[in-house]
Amino acid sequence: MSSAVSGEPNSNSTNDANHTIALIQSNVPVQKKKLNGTVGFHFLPNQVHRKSIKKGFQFSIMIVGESGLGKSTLINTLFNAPIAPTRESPKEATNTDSSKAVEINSFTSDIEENGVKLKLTVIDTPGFGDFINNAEAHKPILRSIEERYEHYLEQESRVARKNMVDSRIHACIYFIAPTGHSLKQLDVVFMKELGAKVNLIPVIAKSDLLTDAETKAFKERILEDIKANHIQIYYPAVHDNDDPETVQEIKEIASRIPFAVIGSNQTYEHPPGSGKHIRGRKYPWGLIQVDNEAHCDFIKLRQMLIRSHMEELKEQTLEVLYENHRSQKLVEGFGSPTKNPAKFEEEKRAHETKMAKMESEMKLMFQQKILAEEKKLKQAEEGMYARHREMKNQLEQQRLDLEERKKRLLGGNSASSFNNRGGTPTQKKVVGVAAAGANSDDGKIGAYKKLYVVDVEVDVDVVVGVFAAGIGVVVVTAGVVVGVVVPTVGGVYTHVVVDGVFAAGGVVVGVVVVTVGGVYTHVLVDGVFAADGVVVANEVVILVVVATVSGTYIHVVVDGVTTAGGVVVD
Amino acid sequence: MATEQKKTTASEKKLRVALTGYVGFDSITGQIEKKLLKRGFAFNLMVVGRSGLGKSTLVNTLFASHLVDSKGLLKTNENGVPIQTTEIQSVSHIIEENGVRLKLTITDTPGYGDQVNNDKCWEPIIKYIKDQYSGFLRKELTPTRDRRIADTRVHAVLFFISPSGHALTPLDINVMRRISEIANVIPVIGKSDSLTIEERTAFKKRIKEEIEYHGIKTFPYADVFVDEDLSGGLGSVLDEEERADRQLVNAIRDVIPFAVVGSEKSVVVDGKAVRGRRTRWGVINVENEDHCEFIALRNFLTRTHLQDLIDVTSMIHYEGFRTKQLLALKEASGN
Repeated sequence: MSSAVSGEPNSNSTNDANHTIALIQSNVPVQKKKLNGTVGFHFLPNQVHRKSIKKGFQFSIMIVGESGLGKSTLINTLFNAPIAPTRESPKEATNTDSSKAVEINSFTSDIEENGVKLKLTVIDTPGFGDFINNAEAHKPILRSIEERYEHYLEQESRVARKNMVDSRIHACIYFIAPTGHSLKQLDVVFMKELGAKVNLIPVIAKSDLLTDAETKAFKERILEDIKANHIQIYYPAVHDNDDPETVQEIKEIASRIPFAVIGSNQTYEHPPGSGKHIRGRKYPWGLIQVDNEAHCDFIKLRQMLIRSHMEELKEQTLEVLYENHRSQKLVEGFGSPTKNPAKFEEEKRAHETKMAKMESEMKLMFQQKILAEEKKLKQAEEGMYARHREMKNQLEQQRLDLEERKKRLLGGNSASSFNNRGGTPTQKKVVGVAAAGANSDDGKIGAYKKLYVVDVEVDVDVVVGVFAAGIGVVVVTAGVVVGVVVPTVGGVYTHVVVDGVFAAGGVVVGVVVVTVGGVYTHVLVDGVFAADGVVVANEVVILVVVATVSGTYIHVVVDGVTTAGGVVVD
Repeated sequence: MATEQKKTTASEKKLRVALTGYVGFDSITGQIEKKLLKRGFAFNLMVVGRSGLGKSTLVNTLFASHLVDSKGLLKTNENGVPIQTTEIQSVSHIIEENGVRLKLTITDTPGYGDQVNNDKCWEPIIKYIKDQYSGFLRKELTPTRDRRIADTRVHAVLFFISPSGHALTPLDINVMRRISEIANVIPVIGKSDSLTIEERTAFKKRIKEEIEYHGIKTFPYADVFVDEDLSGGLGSVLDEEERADRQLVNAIRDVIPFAVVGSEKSVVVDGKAVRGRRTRWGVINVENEDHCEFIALRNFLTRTHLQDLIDVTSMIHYEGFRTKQLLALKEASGN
């Protein structure tokens, strides 16, 4: 849905920008909107331009090829500056076995043109292909490239990432000797290994050795060889939004790959007498011009390398080649690829054994802890049993006493007990509730008088409540009944647990009963009796909540019926 | 041996006698020539160098006929398998010029220097050269031997150097040295149209320095003169010729290595059809001495020193080989 068009027509750039944004955020519904006036963000490229100029640019090229193919001369010709040292004066004749391996030499120079600064790094590889046995020639180069990726990866993963040094190689120019036949074995081996790791640009060196027909046949043969060996080389890519001119240019460049180049920094006057100087090579039979497209592909190479595709080469290195390397490395998750696979296996095994040892140690510790825990629990259980037995004895004792009392009471005046019940309750502090036996006078509730507080018998006048309980364990702290725990009674209920008793000032302030059989939660005392329910089992009041507040008791709810006043606390 | 003979002849009193009339033994040269013409000549040339240096083209240009096919890199042998080591391939042709028949054998060494690991790639070459010598020696030693033993010994080895413009590669030095010990080596810079004149001069100087440094003896030898005056120095005429010879040899040694360009195709230069290469910036005339040294090489090889090459091979290299072999045989049989 686009909004209505009104106002001035929009410039192409904004439409394109809209289109690009639509492409980028393809999962977000993008609406193409037309502007009603100029905004000014078409200056964005200018801003980027200014910033980049300030920052300066950087480019790294690696040149590989047998000695004597004109590598250094070509670099100097490309950038119009003496960047790489050429071996113009041959060294003294020495024992040529002195250097046994390919060296990697790097030269950095800062060049400037029209205010744009370029930090150019050229990496030379002297010794490549010059030895009798060149089987290892490509290895130092491959390692150098991978090391640079590793270096960057390590810097990227650091905590402080401000000063990252980018030494990655953006392009590798490989020089093919102008034999006119086909690629040499060394060429094939090298290009295969490195084409996947770096942007590989093959060039035919010293191409003034070949005539037109020979060059054409040679290029065809090289391309055939490249395809047959599945070698990856860099092709300038065509983008969707390039104008047809650019597309045509790029196609032309691509058609000349591999470039047949010559290099020269010597100038000659051509045509003679005209005063115009051009770069070239002077032979007795003619003058070959470096900058003449009909003579060689130098112009095309320069165009691709510097004028149109330098940024692309960098991008390709950063985004594709480096990322491939990085994902590979991170998936493996191990150290540098230069480690020996055997060593790697060793490390793995050591790691595994360590893990196994740790595991067994932990198991041992766990078992020990379990044993300790078991022991503790057993001890606690023993303690409980002991106490249980003690309690039982006490209650037995109590029972016997009660039996005695019962006999006495039965013998004595029964009225007195009733009088007691109807009369003014004596003020005595309820310290706690003790469970009594089922036998009571007249089968009445509350006919017990004893309160057992931790084996201490305390007389209470009034039955505070009735509950069915077998044995009560009174939890006392500092002489105050803190709670009552009623264990199982034969068959009626399991037990009642008094969860907490508020003890304030030495007096049981409240009893919190947590029921079993889940009727209510708790009871708060201290003036307010809030009981949500009564635990009943088999129509027997299991629990009586007694609220005592500083000796004053409010009421007790028994089986839904409030019996108040009957129980005197104090 | 020549010096010995000189001594013996010196001890004998030789008299120079003036002739009083015409005898006619000066026609001996004519008689020899007729015999030689009937017999025909044989020349064995070997070309050694990496692929792509124009060896086959140069041979064809030298002898103005299509003798060798330029096969190119990644050549295959008869079964179509790509060549992995140096191989030796010989072809023989008989060419005739002005009634003189020449049996020319060209030995090519495809696969030399083309592998990634070129260690010991020279061994097949050395073996081949020595095999020819031992074959000849065997034929010589048999009790009933042929009247004229067919000479398959390698008379000249054209060693091709790549026109890098810098220096000799370690492989080149190694191989040149080994071959020069048993055969005549003539170093040649192939495809020299890739060097400008200044580069060429500097390159040649460098190569000469290196050759001397490593003690490689290239043909023509500065200290060996097979045409020693066996007759004991009869007159100043021969001395002068000798002097001229030596001058020529020194001149040749200055030019070595020959910077050559080969071509079988003709191009038209100044209305004339000559062999050359046409490029967009000019035409290289193979026969133009300013352009390359092909003419010098051809003259040296075919016009002035062809017989010399054969003689040196037979008298110096082969004799050296024979001496070593016979001594070794004696020791072996003596133990």
